[in-house]
Amino acid sequence: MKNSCRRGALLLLCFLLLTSCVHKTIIDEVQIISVLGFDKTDNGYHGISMFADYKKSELGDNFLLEADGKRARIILSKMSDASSRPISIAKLKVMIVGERFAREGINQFSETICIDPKVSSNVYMVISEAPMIDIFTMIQARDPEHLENLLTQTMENGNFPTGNMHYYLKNYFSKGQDSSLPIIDVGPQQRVSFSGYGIFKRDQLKMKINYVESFLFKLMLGDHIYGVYPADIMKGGAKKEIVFHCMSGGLKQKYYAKDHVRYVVRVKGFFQDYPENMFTSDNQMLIQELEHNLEQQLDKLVRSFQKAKLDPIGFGNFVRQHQRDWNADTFYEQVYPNMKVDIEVKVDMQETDQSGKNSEGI
Amino acid sequence: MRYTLDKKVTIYPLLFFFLIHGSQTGVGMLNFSMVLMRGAEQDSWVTLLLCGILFSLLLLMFFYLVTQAPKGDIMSLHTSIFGKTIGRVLNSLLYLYFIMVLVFYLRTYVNIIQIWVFPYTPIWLWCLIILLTAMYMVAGGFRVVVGMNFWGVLFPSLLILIFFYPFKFASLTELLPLFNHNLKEYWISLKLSLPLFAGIEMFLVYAPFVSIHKHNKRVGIAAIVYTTLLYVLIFIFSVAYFDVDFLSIIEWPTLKLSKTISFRLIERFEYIYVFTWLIVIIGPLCLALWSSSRIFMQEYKAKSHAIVYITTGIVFILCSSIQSPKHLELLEQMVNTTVLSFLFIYLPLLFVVCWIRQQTMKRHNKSQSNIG
Repeated sequence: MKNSCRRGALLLLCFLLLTSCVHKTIIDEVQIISVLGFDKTDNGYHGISMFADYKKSELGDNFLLEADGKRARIILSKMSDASSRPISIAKLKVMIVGERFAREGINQFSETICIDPKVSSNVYMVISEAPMIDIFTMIQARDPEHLENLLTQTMENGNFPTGNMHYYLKNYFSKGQDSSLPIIDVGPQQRVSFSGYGIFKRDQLKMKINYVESFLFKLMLGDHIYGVYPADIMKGGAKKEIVFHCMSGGLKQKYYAKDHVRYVVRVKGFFQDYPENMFTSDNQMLIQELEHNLEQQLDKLVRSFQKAKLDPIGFGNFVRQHQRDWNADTFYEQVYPNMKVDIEVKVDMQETDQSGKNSEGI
Repeated sequence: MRYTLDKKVTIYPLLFFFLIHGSQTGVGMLNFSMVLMRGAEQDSWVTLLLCGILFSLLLLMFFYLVTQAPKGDIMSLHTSIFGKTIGRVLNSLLYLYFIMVLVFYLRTYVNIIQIWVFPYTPIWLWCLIILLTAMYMVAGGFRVVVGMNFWGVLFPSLLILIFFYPFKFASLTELLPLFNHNLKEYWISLKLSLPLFAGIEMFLVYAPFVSIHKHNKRVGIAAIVYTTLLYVLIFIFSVAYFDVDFLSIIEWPTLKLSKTISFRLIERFEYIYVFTWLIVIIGPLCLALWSSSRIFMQEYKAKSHAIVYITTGIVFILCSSIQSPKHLELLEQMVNTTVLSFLFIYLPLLFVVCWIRQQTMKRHNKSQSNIG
């Protein structure tokens, strides 16, 4: 009796597995969107998505779907209606937001799409300065993972801080920091290129910073410090430019009072492209000049943020961690615009032979 | 000395660790850090540590209770203190309590599967599949249940290692400032975190199956300490990764934390996470099912297998009748209040009654021996 019952239960379990009544999606039967873009038009929003079709070739051919609508889900559903197979956003890799749309506020899209449990946290979010369709036609000509790989590569080895959905949402909901996203544009050779960084207030794009400032911004964030910085050097009354290649670094913050903080940036790297009549023996002087230059530039950047009442660096969060009764409204209205931020830069040399023209006498 | 069953059916004393820890981990681990944001925000780790201490004391109390019971479990204690009729009523209530806990465990897990992976599959199907699995294991006897709990401890412990992956995006300074909340907020946090540790009350039912060893208490408390550390660690990870403002709006922070993890081969790790949690959930599920069946069996002297099937049937009907998230929320509130009042009002009262009875019996015995 006992055995037969047990066997019966086991048999029943097997049948349940065999029926496989769960919802299934087979890879050839759905259109997996890898890049999704939204921009504002005169009446409503315009959405473009790119998906790869793996039926014909192994590498995949890219196709575009376009739709207009007033809400994000309506646009997605219209895209689905326009294609022969249902679309799925579960493997979204990159989300592009048009500049006009970003200036108006991307709230309705970020709150429906980003919070969806199907969408990964590692999705890159970028702002596009160029018309959306230009960007899409450019990436359509390349392989399906081109844009994603490009963004990964640039954020790891370039001047730009990481800008994925997790960071965007975290800063969007945070009371003590504003979000920021990278800006892309059509570059030479019909390629996607980075042109700067966009600073948001809540969900609205308020300010743009350029390529060099992005590196400075990355230093202040203290995350994954790496990049190339062209520094102006004064020698003998003449202004010359030298390239500092930053390999690693660190950031130390110090809290004095609720309106006085100190940021110590320590970078390690080497000089490249020495100007004429300058050699490695001048390094000591160059370091001093560079430190001075970086301090000035960082100070200028922070001041411009303070003037615009934007806080992408997260001074608010830092003060909150040290002040027991921190209040976002009073901090940003009264304290932040006149906050005293001491910035100190320390440059360490990393001796390598990579810098090319660096040995004396050549 | 507490009563235990014959050596043939009892378990090795060390396995008690897995039973205690396994029964304490559940779906709560996936969203507790967001729930705690309602109270003392980033300082809630203090209340988690406090919970660990409270539950250790509770476990010591349970050990006292089972030594007082003639058959080594709470059912026989009820009948010996309150008599047959009231004892039977209390035991039936205990049976209903475990059924409620079972429904809660199962339905919350099915809810997660529905939200994260299969939104179109009906609820009853998931309930049926998981319940049949649990029933099959419980029908195998207590040792199979213990085995399931063993895996339920091993798997989440391995998953903790994986959390070091998203840690590179986190900063521990989010835990600052320390202690800037008032007592009322700590009290809210404490009330919210106590139900997370519930589950050790099943020891009152399976106590006769744990063989006596001088380190029994030590093993039990080690399990509670381990649970506490696990909760505190996940809490710190979540706060460091999300920060307080974002964390208070995410529905399943622990799952969301695993979303950042991606490898070349496994791009979306959270799907693996959701299904690994089945192994975690099935341990306490089996234990609760076994406990409820055991209570019924002892009380009505019925055949054990039939009771398991009947209990499964009741749980299945209750689970599939809860459809809307609103009802689930209601159930959660009900379970939390019941669990808290059972653990922190009823059982301490029982402890006091037991203690007074023991003292009077001692005095009675003394006076009798004096007369003699």
